[in-house]
Amino acid sequence: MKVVNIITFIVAFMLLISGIYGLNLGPFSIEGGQHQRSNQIGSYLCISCIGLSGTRVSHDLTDETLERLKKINYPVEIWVFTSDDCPTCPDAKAIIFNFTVENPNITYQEIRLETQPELFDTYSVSELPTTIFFNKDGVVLRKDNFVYKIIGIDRLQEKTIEAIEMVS
Amino acid sequence: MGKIKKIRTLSQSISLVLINIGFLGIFVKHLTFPVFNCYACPWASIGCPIGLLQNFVMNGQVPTYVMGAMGSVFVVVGSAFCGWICPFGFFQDAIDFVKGIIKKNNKKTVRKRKINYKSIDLSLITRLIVLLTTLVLAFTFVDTIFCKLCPVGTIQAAFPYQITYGFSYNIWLAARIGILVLLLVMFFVISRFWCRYLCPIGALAGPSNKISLLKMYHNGNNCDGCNICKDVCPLDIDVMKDQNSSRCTRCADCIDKCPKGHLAFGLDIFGLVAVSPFKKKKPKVPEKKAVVTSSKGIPEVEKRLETEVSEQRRQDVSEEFKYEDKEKLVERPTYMGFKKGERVYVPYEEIKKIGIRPPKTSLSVLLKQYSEGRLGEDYNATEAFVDETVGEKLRDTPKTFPREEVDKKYFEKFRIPKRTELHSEHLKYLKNLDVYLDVKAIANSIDDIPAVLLAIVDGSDRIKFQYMNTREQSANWYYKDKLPSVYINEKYYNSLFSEDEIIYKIKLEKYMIENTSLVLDYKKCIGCNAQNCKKVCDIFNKIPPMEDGYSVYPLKEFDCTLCGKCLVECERGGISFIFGEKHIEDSNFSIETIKKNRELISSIDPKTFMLFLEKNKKHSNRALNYAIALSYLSHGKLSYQLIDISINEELALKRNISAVPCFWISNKIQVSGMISESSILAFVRKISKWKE
Repeated sequence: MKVVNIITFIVAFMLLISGIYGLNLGPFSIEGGQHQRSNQIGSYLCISCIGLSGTRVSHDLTDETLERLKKINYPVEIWVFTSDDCPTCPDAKAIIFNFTVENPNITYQEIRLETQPELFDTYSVSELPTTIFFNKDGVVLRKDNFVYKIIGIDRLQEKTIEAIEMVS
Repeated sequence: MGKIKKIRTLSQSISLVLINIGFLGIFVKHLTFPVFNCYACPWASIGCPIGLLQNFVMNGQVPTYVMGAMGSVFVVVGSAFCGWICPFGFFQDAIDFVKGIIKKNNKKTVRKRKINYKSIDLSLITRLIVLLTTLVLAFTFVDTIFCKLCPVGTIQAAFPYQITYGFSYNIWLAARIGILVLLLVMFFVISRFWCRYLCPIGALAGPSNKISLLKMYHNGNNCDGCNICKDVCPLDIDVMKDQNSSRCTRCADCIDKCPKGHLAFGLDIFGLVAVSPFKKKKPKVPEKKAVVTSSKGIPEVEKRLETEVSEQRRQDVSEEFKYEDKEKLVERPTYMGFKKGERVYVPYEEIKKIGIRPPKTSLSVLLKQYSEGRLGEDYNATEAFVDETVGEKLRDTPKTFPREEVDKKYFEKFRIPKRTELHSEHLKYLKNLDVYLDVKAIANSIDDIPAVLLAIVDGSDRIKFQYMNTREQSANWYYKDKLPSVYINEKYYNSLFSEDEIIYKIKLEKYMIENTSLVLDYKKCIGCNAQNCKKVCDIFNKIPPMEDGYSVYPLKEFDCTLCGKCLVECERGGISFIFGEKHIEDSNFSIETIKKNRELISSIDPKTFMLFLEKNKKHSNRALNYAIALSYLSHGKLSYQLIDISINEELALKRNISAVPCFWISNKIQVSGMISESSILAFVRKISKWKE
């Protein structure tokens, strides 16, 4: 029994150290150690993965949205925070892309976690996908002193058009 | 709530805050502990190990970091995180607490049934199944399926998100709420249901109990098998059989509740075991210390009295042997606006009826008078009750003054101070006392004598009271470790100086004197030259000598106090005492061996034992004589209490008494049946722990 105890002890701490110092085991490898990786997973949560938001929405804009979109005559910039792991981020991107197609005043930019993680921190984005809005001066849209964020893809269309009208 | 449980609750609540300290902007999500806390919670500061495991497995990696982080905790403390830190465990404990409140109203105590049939412990298997399915689902569907159904996620993440970002329905939400409701119901039915059957972290934590450094130990030597540990265990573990069960959450409720303190945590460092000592819970009574003298009378090392024995005795004597007629005496009539039942001083009128004089002089002077024998005369003198002062007082007061108020003022002055604060019933009892009693008080000064004792002594003229200064030579015989010490009929009674206690002792003594008789056996008494009996006691001068046969004298008739001096001092064994009036000849009776151990018996500590006897029986009489001899030889420190078993059956039935006569202190320390001198000495050895 003593031998088993000692072996488990050693194995447990070996695993811990290997996790911290990036000794990756397994068919696929990742950038950095599992230590950093787990930080990424924990900090920037794909909320559809946890089942907090729906996973299926249609990308087509409704007639009501189009009507309201046509009235917009000021430039609006939309940022979509995405990640490679996130299964619903492409949906969000597609919907926002449809907005830019319908109205040239609206532009969008994709912020990827893998390339620009510092922007996630500046806007304190911890969920994916997240959408935020800027006006022509590059000032972020705020509501009640907080950055106005649309999290997830549930009713993204309705929320986005409301936000665009709020930018003015 | 026990002490450990309080600490545990504190630890759980602090860790709940620390784990979810994100509201201060502190996030350390690369850290993970084996606790069940959703990392999607907006305030969660650490990562969820199961969520991370799924993520790593889903991305095709061996989750070395998470396994290492969890394993390194498990190998050290086992599943202690489950019981002491895990927020979901805390949640379930809270539900148990609510359940306890509801149950308390219905039932008092619930003892768990003893399961006779062999039941297979499925809890670990179900937990492992949950863990494996979680990982397999994550790997096959490349999705965190478990997180979508997780009840912690529902509480910590789904509800906050739904509230802040508006309600949005999806199928997972319905499923997870359904699961949460189901679980909540199960928590109310089975405590810690999640930890027991479903927790995937517990699947790894449970087996680690067997190999971790922290282990629970049980000292089985003195275990009674009360199985309280099993009853209090929220996870229904048979703690006696398996202290390091794979189901255990290390909540330490069993350690908390074990009445003997036989369970403890210990560190098992690869065979080197360091266990915290099995501490017995100390009784709340302050420990008695006694100087045990050697046989030469020189005080030796201070030794603690055995707590168990003294505690038991304390319980028995104080609870069962309380003054029997107490219930009748609690209430007393109202006097002049005093509340009923309140302890009031006896008014002048009533004292006059009873015949006690209000003291006009100070207590010390009175006591002096008493010792000189002058005070007794005053009782019957009419002068003491002359209303001179009353008349003057009344004359001085204006006539318009209402009569009642005058009375009140007058009586307030004349209320008797402390020393006559007696029940009127007690006073009547003392007034009618027809037995001669001898009370001695040994103290450093007169003022140290308890006032209640003085009041009682004042109450009857059949009580002979004697005050002894500790420096006096005659006081050397008496026990002086606890001053003031009070002797009633040469027996040390110092337990409590309350009115009821002393009266009760007096009643005991009275019963003793009324029911015992002195026997002079003239076959043995040959009118020796020594005449020890006559030197010791005046009584023997009154008794006319006979030539042959025996004579029985009931003690009540010639004011004997049953001190036992004569019994011990007579060298020929001519004097003995009997319980009852009928003399039964006992040729083998002698107390020589007890007398030989005189010095050793005198070094004993004060104790009271019960003596269960039958009237007019040979062995009972013998036991009584031994008791009297013991009491005298121990300088009155061993006092005894006679119980006629034919009258007081209940008292005997309560105790495990095998035979009569019986010397009884506790169930462990008793001598019963045909009592010999050697068994008496063994009894003395037991109670004093005295060694040769």
